[in-house]
Amino acid sequence: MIKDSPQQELVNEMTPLFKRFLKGAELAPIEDVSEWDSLLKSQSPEELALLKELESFAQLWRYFQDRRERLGREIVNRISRIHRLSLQQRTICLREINRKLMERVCCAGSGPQFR
Amino acid sequence: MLVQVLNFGSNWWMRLGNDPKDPYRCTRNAAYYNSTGVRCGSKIRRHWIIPGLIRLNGVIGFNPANPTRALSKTFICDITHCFGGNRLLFRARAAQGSVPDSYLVIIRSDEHGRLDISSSVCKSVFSRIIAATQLREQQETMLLMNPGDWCQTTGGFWQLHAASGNGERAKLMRIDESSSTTIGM
Repeated sequence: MIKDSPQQELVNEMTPLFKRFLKGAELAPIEDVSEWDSLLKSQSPEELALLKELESFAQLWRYFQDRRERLGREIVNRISRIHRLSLQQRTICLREINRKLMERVCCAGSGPQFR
Repeated sequence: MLVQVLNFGSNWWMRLGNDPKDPYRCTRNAAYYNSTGVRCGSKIRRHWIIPGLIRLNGVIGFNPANPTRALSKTFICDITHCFGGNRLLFRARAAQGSVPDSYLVIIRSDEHGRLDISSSVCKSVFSRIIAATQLREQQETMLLMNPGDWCQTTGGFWQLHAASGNGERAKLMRIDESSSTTIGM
């Protein structure tokens, strides 16, 4: 029996792995906006607005965390108390926080990550 | 699905193998179950508001005497909904270095604050609650989260950060003044 070459063995191992990322497989990317939207359809308009702001905030925090930048005392204090507010007030508060953070992102300048 | 365990729930129980003559009835042919629970006096009670559990088969090498050895390990899992609850079956250990798809996270009221489970905005859309227990002020929730997923408790805003390349493990992080405090993982 002829043995597979190391390259062929590697291909044999990698092929099933890559199949997991194909459409419909377990690690396939989500159907862009459509899957996201379908998950959000069951929410009320107020909850939907808040969820979008919370998602934006989570992404912004992650961005600052990766750059080892602090959010600042004011934002941290506001986020820590935000669960006490009503849905609408939370949305407004988060929108304002996100806007402030986005301004800081815009001020980040044209560092090497933007080239 | 590859799941890395960041923490287990408080409630453990086991089921022995079916054959009474089997010498491995209490070890590799046993099944170990874990879920959320709250302490009531000297006992841990389920008090589920969302029923669910994880099952670890003894054959995967799980040591019930030292469950912490399974922390930060990655397992091949199947998630189903049966017998009226969520069920996450740990089928086998994943190969070393495998990148997990999701993380098993426990949120406790005394460490992380209370999660308003009745609200759909208490957690990110893609994080899934496996089980939740609540009794008066005590609460414990078991979640399956992906990196970047978040939840909001009375203790603050938490986000799951995936392991970075420099040996740092995945962890649930809370926003605080330094934005880098890690609690309870």
